[in-house]
Amino acid sequence: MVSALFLISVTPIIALNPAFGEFPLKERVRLELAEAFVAVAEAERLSGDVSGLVDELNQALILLGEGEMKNDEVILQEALSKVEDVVARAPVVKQGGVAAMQARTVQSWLVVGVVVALGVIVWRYEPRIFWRLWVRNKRRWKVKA
Amino acid sequence: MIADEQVMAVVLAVLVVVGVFAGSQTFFGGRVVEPFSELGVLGPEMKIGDYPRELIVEESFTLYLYVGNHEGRVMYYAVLVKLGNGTTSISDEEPMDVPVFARYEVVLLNGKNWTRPVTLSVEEPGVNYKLVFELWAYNEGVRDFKYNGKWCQLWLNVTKPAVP
Repeated sequence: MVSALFLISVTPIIALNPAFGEFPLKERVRLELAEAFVAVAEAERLSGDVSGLVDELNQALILLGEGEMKNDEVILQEALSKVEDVVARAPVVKQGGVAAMQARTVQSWLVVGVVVALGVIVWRYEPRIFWRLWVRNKRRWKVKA
Repeated sequence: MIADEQVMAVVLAVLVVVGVFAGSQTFFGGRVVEPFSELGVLGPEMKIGDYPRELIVEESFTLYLYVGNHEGRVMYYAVLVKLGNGTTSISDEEPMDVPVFARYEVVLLNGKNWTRPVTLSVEEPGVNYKLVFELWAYNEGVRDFKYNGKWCQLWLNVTKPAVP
């Protein structure tokens, strides 16, 4: 009884959900496009290389325009599959970006560490080394009074 | 020794300058100071000029749309083409309040631009038509396109074809 009530209450929600195909195909493509763009922007924000995804989105936009003009469901379906591909690939690109960003952070701290270490070394040893080299270089010089 | 201290001071100063420069480049390099977008309409020869002025009803004409992204991030643009008259207004804050005549969309990476030909025609005769191109950008916060404040316009006179 309870499960029957649950089904009755859930059915209208499913029917109204765009993800379940209630919208015409071109509207679905547009909704998916927006979702794909948000995913691409997020991947880019986290330093992912999104150039491939952007190319695919633009191909989908061309197909969408063509499909709308010709009212061709096959072309619209092709556009939808491209957009869905972008949505699927975006998290992978995002992960790659996060890894690259972490590597860059480590690299930055290494650079800072090397600069600090060089500073300490120079502070500690440079005068001695410098003057030793200077004396060695000028030792043949004669001073006239 | 005074000489030792002087040499040390110079070397340290150089190291500090190099360190600060390298650090700032690492942390702030590539940041866009003043983000902006570009919208342009080019004539049939893909140049600024030679725009159509006098047309016949349903006569096709080709223009080129140019959009550039310098926002520092990927952008999803829509160029809306609208047809108004001498009294319909448009500003950097408010888009023109008339139906959309044509729509072109593109996703652009930062630093990239896009030029594409568009072929249009006007169905009704009229004087001083205002053909307006508005730039809209997808706003992830509101999950919809928002007017970007960039627009271009062409003035057109459209006449009926001469009866033989």
